[in-house]
Amino acid sequence: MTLTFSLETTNVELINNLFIYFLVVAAIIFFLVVFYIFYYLYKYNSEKRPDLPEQREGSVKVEIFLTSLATTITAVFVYLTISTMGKVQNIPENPEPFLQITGHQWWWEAKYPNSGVTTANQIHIPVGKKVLLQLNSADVIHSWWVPELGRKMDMIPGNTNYMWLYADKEGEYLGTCSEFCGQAHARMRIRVTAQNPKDFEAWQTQQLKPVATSENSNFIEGKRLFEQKTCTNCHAINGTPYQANIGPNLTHFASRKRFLADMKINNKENLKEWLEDPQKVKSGAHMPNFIFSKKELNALVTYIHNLK
Amino acid sequence: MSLYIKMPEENEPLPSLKRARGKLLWISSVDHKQLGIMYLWLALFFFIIGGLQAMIIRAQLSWPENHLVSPEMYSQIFTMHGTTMIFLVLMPALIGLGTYLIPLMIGANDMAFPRLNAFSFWMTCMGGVLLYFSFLAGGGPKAGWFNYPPLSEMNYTSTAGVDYYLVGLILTGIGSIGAALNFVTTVLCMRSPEMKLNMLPLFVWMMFVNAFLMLAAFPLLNSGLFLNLLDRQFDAHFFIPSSGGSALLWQHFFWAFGHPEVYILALPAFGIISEVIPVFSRRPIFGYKFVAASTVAIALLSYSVWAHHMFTVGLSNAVNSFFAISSMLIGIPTGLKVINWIGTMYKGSIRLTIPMFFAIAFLIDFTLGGLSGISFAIVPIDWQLTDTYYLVAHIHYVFLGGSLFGIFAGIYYWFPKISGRKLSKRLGKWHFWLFVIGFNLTFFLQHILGMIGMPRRIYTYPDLPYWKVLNLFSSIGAFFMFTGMAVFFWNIYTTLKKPRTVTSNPWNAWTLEWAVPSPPNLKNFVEIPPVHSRRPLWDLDHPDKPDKRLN
Amino acid sequence: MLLLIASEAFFFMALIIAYVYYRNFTNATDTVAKNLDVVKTGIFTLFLIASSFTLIFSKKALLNEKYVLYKILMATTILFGIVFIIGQVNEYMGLYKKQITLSQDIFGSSFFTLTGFHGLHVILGIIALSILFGISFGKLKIVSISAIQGVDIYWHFVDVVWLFVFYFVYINPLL
Repeated sequence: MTLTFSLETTNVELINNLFIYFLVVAAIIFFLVVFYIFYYLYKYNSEKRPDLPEQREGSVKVEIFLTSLATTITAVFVYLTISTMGKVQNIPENPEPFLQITGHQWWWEAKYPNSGVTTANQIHIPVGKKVLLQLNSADVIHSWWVPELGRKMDMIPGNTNYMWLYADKEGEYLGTCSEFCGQAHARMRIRVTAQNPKDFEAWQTQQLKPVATSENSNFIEGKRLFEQKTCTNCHAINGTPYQANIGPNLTHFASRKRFLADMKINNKENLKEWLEDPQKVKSGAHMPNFIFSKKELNALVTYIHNLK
Repeated sequence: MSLYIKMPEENEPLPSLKRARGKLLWISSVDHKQLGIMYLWLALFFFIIGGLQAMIIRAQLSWPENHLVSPEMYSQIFTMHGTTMIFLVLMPALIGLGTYLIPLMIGANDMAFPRLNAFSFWMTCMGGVLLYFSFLAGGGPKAGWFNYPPLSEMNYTSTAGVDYYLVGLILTGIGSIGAALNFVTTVLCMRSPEMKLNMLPLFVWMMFVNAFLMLAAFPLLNSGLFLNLLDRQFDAHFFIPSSGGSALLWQHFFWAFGHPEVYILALPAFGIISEVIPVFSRRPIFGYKFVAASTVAIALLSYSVWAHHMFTVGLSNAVNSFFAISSMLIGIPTGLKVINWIGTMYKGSIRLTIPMFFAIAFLIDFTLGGLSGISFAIVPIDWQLTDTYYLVAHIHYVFLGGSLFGIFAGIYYWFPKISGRKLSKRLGKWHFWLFVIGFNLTFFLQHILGMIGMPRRIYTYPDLPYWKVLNLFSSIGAFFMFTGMAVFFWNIYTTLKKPRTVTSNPWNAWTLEWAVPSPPNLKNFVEIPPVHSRRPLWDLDHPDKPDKRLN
Repeated sequence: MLLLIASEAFFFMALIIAYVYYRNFTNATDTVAKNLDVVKTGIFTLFLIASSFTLIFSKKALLNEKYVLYKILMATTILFGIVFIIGQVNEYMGLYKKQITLSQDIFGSSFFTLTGFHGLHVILGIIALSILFGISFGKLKIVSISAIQGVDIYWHFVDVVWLFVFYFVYINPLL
């Protein structure tokens, strides 16, 4: 990371600053309202002033003064809103996205058009670089929100939206789908891994490797089952004829740290549990229950877990 | 009472005056008082259901990875909670108070169209019944109270719940249009001949403006609902993007209704507060003209703010700027009202009754809700916080802190008029403190939950830092509110068992409804006080210093 | 009555906006417009407009207590309304023969919804007019004068809505 980047205000910081200005003004207004209410309640209580008060009808001067004061404050915030909006959401005319995310019920498909990487749920970005994100939906409306990396943007079927994503520190950033998208909406969380550019390149290279093979008999049996049991109707494996895009692409599944949209840690036990009864793990998920035998299950888990 | 004037005999008596009262005749009643009371009972009944749903929601969210209800059930419960509270609790409660009080406050013997009045009530009632029938027909609606397609389309929600939602809301919508027609005509044609439009009590004025809002807003909702119904039942393509429709169009329709709807629920509450605060401060409202004019400003502006619900759908910056400006502008007349209410208390002689308690809670909590509303008009903040618990907190501060506290103030204020008995002050205080403390505990914390990243409508959440403790306290607050409501119902129950003792004007108020006995006779006014100012009863009581004559 | 009309106007406004929105803001091509017969529908439109005028004259006749003229004009109004509906039915049949239905595509959906709701209103209007017509054979009461004023406004409103629909659905695509 170079020095120039840390001097620049990020989008998230811009929004946070605006929110702080708002909070300060709102707090002052709120304090004044509460103060006057309680002060009047105390001072003009009927126990203290049992006499009939003067029947005054109000004052035009006060009204005009306060209205113009409110209008002035509003004008300031209108200015701040419009200028911040222009800075945060300045999308070039012919956007060339670095990353394309498509929301599915209930997982995230991620594509990197420059390198050709396709993955699901395990999303990586380089640190210190503003990346342009393209958002689409394959079914219902979803909404992409990783609070520390940028704004929130809806994914609307039939529309394409763009936004900037920026991470200034390495690490994992949590987010979530924030438009109700059906039964497993709560289970549609996001984890973005921000890496230094070198690590990011290494990750991309690894993701572009051809699909793993092995001479292990369990692996071969698992591969056969994967094709025979119609897994391939929904899941794609690069370098094979199976290119369906209904469920996540599994070519490098084993390289992912978590699966089911950040719900479970990716290990053999969790995978087995998932394949045994998807509804029990993630209620509502579109994955059918195949009712595998123990042996089949082992073979499939071995196969999928070797797809590094 | 020789100061009163005899009402002129009508050529053709209103249909409501042809019948005697009786328990069974309630269902065939066309009397505005009986219908108003039935509206209130309807609201109370659905409030219990909606409240229990809210308790289930809070119980489910008390701690992470809780499995009290299934995710499918949870979707139905939060959808029905929102739909019930808005369309079957707040709407009927406010329309009910309006139906009961408008004729009394303007010196009329009934609404302009008594039969339409009954029709409106039964439409609303049937709409509610249909909505809940869905649970017997394979599951309630589960696409959220604003029912966004394509999730609400057949492909993604195949149970009949959404169909019941659509038909139910069309019916309540027709009911509301009918009620609004009736309000406008009643205010225009049935006023006591001496009462000019600038002498209307503020509650009536706000219901009057509100009725215009309803007349324009509900048809938009109904057409959207019809289109969605055609999609689901006749394979049309309006909101299905994969076959040429547009998912965004529904959002435009829904919010072009939905935002005025927020003011439809808020304006009558403003009206109640504008009656209660002056009476218990014993001063006329500060700046009547400004309060009345700001109501009209709000009504007009409320039609140009709907897209602030859609700042994250990817509209252009120019469009967003327009809606940001109009949304911030609407804060000005609303803020002006708060200032006028506080100004009314200035140099008054404030009586701390239960209606006044709720009016004060309204002032404070509605101000908070209004301010958090401004943060959604500031587009970049909206980009971070919309659809989080910060938004959930905001809507509850507006609907509970605003509308519901207004309704509570109204019920405590007018209960003596409606039933002839005063609600117990001791129980009222219990209700007030339990409910208000619980409310602020529950929903204030949700602001923070939203800021740290909790989205709305999730049935459970991972154990992230602070999420657990904030959610737990939020649920504890809900329990306080629940207890408070139990006290309220107990208060109503015990009070209704007592004999009628209340005189016609127990609060020393000034508007015409307090000139008739409590409860009023079937024919409201046999004779009517002369009306020369906004406070006719004040002029009668203080002949030495009457208000300025306005006619 | 005027308020109800205003409210209805918002309903139709929403439907027309939907149609225009689909035409101008989506990429789909309008499949319905090119299959519509503008001239034929134009003639039926003239019938509907004419019915508005006959209704105005019949109201005048009633106020001048020329009851026979009133009845004749009223009958003509109803007749014109029915002719218009027949025209609509004819149009629908033609479209069905070309396999254009509500569920075919987005323009099918919006065309049939918009014109269907309008047709429904015309039919309601015809029923209301027929009731008035029927009453006129009994004793004419004061009530029916205020009733005829209500129906009068309603009928003109339905007419005006059709002019908008006709413009947006039939004429605009040709421009």
